[in-house]
Amino acid sequence: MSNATVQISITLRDYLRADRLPTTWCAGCGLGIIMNAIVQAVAYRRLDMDKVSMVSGIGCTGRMSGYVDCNTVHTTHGRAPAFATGIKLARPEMTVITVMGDGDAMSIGGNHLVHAMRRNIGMVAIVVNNNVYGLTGGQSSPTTPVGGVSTTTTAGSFERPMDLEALARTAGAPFFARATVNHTASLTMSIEKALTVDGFALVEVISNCHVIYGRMNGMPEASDMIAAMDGDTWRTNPALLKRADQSIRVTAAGVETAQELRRREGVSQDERSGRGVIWTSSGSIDLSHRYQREMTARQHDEVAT
Amino acid sequence: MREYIDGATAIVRGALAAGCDFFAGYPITPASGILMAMMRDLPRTGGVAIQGEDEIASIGMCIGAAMAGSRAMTATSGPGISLYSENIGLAIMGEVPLVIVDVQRLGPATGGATTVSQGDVQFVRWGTAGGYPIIALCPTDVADCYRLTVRAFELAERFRCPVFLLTDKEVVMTPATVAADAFVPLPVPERTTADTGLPYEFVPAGDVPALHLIGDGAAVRFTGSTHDEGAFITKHGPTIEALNRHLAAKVDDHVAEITMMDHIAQAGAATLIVGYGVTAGAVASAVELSDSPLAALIVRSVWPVPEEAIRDALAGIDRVVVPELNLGLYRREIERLAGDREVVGVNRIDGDLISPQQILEATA
Ligand SMILES: Cc1ncc(C[n+]2csc(CCOP(=O)(O)OP(=O)(O)O)c2C)c(N)n1
Ligand code: SF4
Ligand SMILES: [Mg+2]
Repeated sequence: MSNATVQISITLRDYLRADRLPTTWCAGCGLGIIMNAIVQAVAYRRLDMDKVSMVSGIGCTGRMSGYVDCNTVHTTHGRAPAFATGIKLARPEMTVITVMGDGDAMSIGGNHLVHAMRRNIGMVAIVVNNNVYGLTGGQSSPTTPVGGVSTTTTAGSFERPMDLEALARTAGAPFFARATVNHTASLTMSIEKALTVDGFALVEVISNCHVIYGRMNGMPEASDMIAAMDGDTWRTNPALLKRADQSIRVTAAGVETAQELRRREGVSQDERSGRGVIWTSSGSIDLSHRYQREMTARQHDEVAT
Repeated sequence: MREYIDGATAIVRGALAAGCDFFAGYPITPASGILMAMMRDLPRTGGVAIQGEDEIASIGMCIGAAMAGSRAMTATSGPGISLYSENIGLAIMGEVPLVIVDVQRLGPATGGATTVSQGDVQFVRWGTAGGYPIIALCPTDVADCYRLTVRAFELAERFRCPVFLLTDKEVVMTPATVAADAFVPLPVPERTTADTGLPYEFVPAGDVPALHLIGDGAAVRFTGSTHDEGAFITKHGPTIEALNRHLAAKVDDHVAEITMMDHIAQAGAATLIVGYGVTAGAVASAVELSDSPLAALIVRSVWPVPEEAIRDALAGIDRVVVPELNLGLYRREIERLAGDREVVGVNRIDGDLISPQQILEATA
């Protein structure tokens, strides 16, 4: 069989700063699963960690850069895509992974996210959507669902939550994937696939903040929230997860369904995941090369002559 | 040979002479000339220039690029400095070399976009949270823009910190005749890098550790949170104090090295005029036009305040005149050094420049 499954074994310790563990995250927080998935995806792609930069914002999610053993930059709230753009333009050979919370990426940093997508700067942006501001104590975020209780929407939010997939499409991101911390194989695979994209790849990960958001919304255990990601999805995020029931997304030629991808990539476990979304538009080119030294200089010379 | 050029052109030439290879900025009058020239000229020299989606992104891109090895500069005016604020703090905390040009314009809010002002002189000093020292240079004219831009890059490398070039609409946008020898090639500032050892040594407090660049060998860490010398977040009191004392001492311990000023001493002068930036020309003219001897001090490194040099210049003086295009913002720095000498301001906030005659009236 030509499409043989390749066995890779990795030691997490080699990719994490073991001396910084345990993390400051609450027991059962989905962030551990996500960090694990990122590291696995990097390992599967056999990337040299000295040539990988993880740029994070501020929040529980933002703390991730403290634990991963690559070039790490823990920046200001919402601005991670800007710092990541600078790094990528200065060192286009670098693999840049930007990690943001939902408040980080969609509220305070929404503008930077939109323009990084529009410019198609080569990076993998991972948005950890836990429907809430975790670090600062459970205030509502742009993805708190209608009816969702938070410390600033104690009677339930009535603002409409934001749909990151629609934003990605509008802003011109060539790749979008959504996975949950309950579907770890497709999560890892989505990130791995994102790492192959020539341009801006956005991965939204539905995560659980059971300690704050869950407790306020009748899901006090991590398992309650994780189970909700599988079936009872309205309780975590109706606007996003209901849409996710359609697992085929089409933008242009060359689009694959999550199942097709999984088959092609040889990932066999975790077939439960029907809620993820993944799409790629073909013919994407990382535009960070356009800012790159010789090329821009040459263009100028051509214009001049 | 002479040239007729504006300060924006001189700043861009200075940046290129100093090896600047990354620029990000957002359009704003009166700083847009620098952005436009950089977008045009930087790629020709092998650098990267990008127009950010706003000022927060622009300074963020510069910091990211600087961490990855570029020599970066950004330029804006007061409203943009407001948006830079948080990331100025990040550059201080991250010990990132960076040149920030503030082309001052008048007033709070949108104010007067094409109106000259020196209203940001305290703003750049205290423009980010925490109250840490900052370096700011104030060019007096177009030719000085070139020299001080190069010097700003030197100081940014030397002290691993953001350095302001604090200038104004008049100097940057009004073309002036400049002797071509004003643009002598200057050596590209030295950069000390390392890829082993600690990226953020704090001890001795006044020393500046070598830069560790992302992508140059072993992985580099950074956090804007309070951290130890290895860049790991810490809550350990003595380490926190050592970090914060280091960030202050590396500038405060080297004021003499940073100080740049022109002192016009005159035998028998009992009055000293202290000016900076665009008012320097009027100060020099006032000294020439005066019937009685006047001393003058043009401060080109406004922050940190060159206290020693100012005290020296105050010897034998009993009256100080401080002309400024604001309501007396730098005068307070002189007052605290002047003891019981009389200190008077000459202040304009109507968009016009201060004339030598106005200064002379105040010296009488
Ligand atoms: C300019 C600024 N405003 C506010 C804060 C405080 N703050 C820190 S994290 C955060 C929100 C975190 O929520 P999210 O981005 O969803 O991340 P999570 O903690 O849920 O992972 C806020 C408001 C800050 N650090 N900086
Ligand atoms: S507060 Fe919520 S998001 Fe933050 S670590 Fe705890 S469970 Fe995770
Ligand atoms: Mg959140």
